[in-house]
Amino acid sequence: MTPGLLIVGGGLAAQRCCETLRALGHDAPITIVGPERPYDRPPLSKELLAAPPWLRPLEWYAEHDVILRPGVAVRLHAGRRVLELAGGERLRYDDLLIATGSEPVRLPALAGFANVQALRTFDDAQRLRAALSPGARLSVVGGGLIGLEVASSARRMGVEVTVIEAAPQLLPRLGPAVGARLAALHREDGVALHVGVGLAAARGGTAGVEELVLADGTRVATDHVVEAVGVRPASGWFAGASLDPHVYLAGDVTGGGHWEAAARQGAGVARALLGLPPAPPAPPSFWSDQLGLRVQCVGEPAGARATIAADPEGRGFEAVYRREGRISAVLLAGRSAADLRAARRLLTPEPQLERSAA
Amino acid sequence: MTLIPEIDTFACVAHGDCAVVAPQAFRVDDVAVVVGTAPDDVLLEAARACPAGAIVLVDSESGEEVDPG
Repeated sequence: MTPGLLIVGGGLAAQRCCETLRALGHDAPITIVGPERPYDRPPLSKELLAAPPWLRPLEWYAEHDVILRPGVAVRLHAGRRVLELAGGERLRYDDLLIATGSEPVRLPALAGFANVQALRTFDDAQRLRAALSPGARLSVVGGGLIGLEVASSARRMGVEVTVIEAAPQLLPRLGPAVGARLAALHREDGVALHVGVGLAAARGGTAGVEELVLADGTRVATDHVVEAVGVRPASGWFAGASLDPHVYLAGDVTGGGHWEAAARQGAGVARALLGLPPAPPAPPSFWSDQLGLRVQCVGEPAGARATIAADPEGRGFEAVYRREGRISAVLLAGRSAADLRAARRLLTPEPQLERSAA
Repeated sequence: MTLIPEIDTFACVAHGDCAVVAPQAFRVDDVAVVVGTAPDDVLLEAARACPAGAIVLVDSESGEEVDPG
């Protein structure tokens, strides 16, 4: 029997590749090699979870003839179509999908302290949950989507929260108006927000950080620290390997970082493996839950000018992004599902008409 | 009020939250499909859970779409 498709790194992109292959009738062997069975990451920063949010029940893999194999890839021998695992085991493949995701960027100033963590895995989420008790002092370094979701969840549990963002505004890709609106809402929510001020130093002892010192001299006493300053592709393990047409990449390892992109890329690899044309293009999108609001963005907001319409009462608002005379993105906070569907239709490219070669 | 669930397959990207909230009503493969029904409050919760806003709930008496809030 041929070794078939080997997928390394079991997350959403891996899962969606398997699902699309099986849905399209592909019946060759598929093996997923990863630290655990695929689970969903967005809930980790949004909910208190008792168990990992598995993407599929265990039976799904048996029913769809997908082998789950625990293991960590350490080296790729692309020329020989061999993947080497920690421990020295070698797996052959016909095609390889690299979907090892991303890993959090860590700050040297916070290295080595016991009460500092990132939030990327279910274990990280469990650790954070254990540290959040009413009255505890949590510092979140990084005011991106993950940092703000953690801040908002912690506030709902009665935790004292400080968010530190070195950039001049929250969520720079969303533009100054939306950044300022979200900053105001988080301050109303009781978050001590320091924007445009970097972390200068961390002070503490063996038990961990006791105080963060900001670039402007502000001191923040703290019990627990979450680092949420971004991610980078988990691609170090195959650096230097010469990739060939039998090696595919999908998900965060490509440098993306949003759920829908990973899902579409995983499905896209399945279509490519079967020689099918790519699915019609879809606008980028992401969502976030914070402040009791669902925030949804469709399109490409970076570099566009936003016009905001906020509810006179309540926290909801919408932002329309324009660039070169066209609407490039719509961001909805606390708006209806029907509004979101309309935004998605507005921003989905029209199918290109086939042109005859004549 | 009795709600009838539908999936906007253009908007659905198979997040799967609906099938977690209301497995009796939704199954998710490459897109979600309606496989049954569920009490109105469960359908409303499923529609709120969908990050893509892809669940359309129609009031069976008026024929109007109901905003899950």
